[in-house]
Amino acid sequence: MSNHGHNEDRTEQVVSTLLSAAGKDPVPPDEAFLERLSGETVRAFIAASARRPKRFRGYRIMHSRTVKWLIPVAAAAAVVIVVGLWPGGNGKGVVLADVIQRLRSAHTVTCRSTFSVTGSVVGTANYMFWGDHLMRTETSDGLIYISDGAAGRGLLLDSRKKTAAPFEQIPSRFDFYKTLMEFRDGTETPLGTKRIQGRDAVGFLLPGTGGNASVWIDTRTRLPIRLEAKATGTDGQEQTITVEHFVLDAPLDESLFSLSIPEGYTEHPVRVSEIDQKLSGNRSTGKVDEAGQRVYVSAAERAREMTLRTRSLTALRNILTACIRYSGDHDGQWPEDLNSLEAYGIKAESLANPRLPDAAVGWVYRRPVVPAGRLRNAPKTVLIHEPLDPWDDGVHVGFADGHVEFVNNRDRIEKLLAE
Amino acid sequence: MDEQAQREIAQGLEAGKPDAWLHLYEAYSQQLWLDVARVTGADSSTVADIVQETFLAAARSAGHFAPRRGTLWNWLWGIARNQVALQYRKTGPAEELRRARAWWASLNGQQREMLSGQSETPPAQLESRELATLVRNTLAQLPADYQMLLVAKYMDDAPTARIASEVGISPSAVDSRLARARRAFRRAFARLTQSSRDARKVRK
Repeated sequence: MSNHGHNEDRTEQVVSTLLSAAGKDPVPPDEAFLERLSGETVRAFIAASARRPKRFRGYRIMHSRTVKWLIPVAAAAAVVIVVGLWPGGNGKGVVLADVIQRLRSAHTVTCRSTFSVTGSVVGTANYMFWGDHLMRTETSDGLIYISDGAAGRGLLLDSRKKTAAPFEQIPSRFDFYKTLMEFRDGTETPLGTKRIQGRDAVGFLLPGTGGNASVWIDTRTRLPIRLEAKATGTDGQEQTITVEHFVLDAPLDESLFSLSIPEGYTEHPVRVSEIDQKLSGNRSTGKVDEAGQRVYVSAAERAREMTLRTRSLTALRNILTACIRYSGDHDGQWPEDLNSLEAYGIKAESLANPRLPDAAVGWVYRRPVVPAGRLRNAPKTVLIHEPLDPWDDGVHVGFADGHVEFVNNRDRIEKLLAE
Repeated sequence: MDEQAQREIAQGLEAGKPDAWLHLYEAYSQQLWLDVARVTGADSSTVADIVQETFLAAARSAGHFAPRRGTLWNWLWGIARNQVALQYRKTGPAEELRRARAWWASLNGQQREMLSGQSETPPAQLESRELATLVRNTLAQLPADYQMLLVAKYMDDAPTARIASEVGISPSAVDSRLARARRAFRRAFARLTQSSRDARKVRK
């Protein structure tokens, strides 16, 4: 044997001896702990997965409408959300489908808006979105509005006067959520192509906005290049908002979205209506026109509804995960009913649907007749859903592959159930 | 876990499917616990902390797992190694390590024999807490891939074929990488114990 080989052998002997001795008798796994941790990590995984796609960016819009002059800004930003939520895929929607994908996978989005009245610029604002519920708006006159859609709370800062006004309600009356729900795939109107900032863009007029909102998409980057929304005040003046400079996944510090009063600021509580008035100032050009009013409802009420919806979504995910774990432990067999999930952390009270606290049936469970491994199309097999009646905006649906969707198209859910 | 199962889990993680995560958790939770326990020699509650932080960090970033950058176990162990290092930092400069190095320095010439492999190491020394401390601290200094191979081979007694499958390389590549890992371990151990002797000389 060569010297080199001999040395290798000795090294192996030494290392083997040392490591074997040190690795002897490790503390045995704590089974109960690992079982508990399993559920915790599943929840962390689901939460992280939910943050990645931006299915619920509509939150941002509802909570962004703090001032009358900002309403069109929010309207335009909502268009981004609308595009992000669009089901897509009808041939001419190829570009939209790409945009959806890009927006859904972004963790942060920033953009800049300009607000004009009868052609004169009266203000600008920078928008920052984080995850699916945090938004920060910085206006050109020093106001900062931070909102947490999931918590239904906001903070208004006046950076010039160093005052801070926290509040529990969202001081807004513009509801793009309803507009969003009215959208149907294929109802957008193509506007053709044009050059914007030296780039080729394809445009769409979006329905449900009184014909006043359009989105222009860069044909090369497949990102929105410009959003435009128009409204007419009661004084007849035309308000225009243009949103541009979209940046996806910009490195933002989460502290920008903190609802704590920053150091150096004095709390100056005001009522919601006062905040609205304060922010409106002299810029308001009055109420928007009737077409716009169609979508103006109580945003505070809507915020509460969305909060309940988030809770319902979380509850469904927990139940769905328990079903899948049950199936994994029982050779693919599904639980007989949801009451069989107690061993998986789903107790009777966990089966209540936060959106339907008084309903006799909070969740409808559809037990597949075949085991998990033999399902032909798990991503399309409905396992659990909210009752379809009374039909409101839509229902949460949990599928056998573990994903959850909010289905707002009754025909679609009925078709899925029929399948 | 075979390549096909790895691929399916990776796809499931990317698609945000909880069952894919559960599959991964069930496949590796016990192994991770045992290897963390071996590498740290810590008590149950410390091991539980490290395992918990590792899996939570993994759960949060699982959607970004890239199979081209290694196997699931490579990825998970990489996270665990960072958590172990954090734990070492939290517990501060080890008094235990200082004592272990002093113990090593007091062996009066037996160290050279022990490291040369020319004589049998007495069981009392092999089983000493101090030697285990030195070995674990040496391991902690190695890159994650060396650490993983040495733990699997000499602490878990895993066969080469299984190691190859977990690491995603051929058995012959495992052998040659293990040889490099052993040399790296020996050098790192020598550095760790050498500096203790130097320190003792200075104090004298």
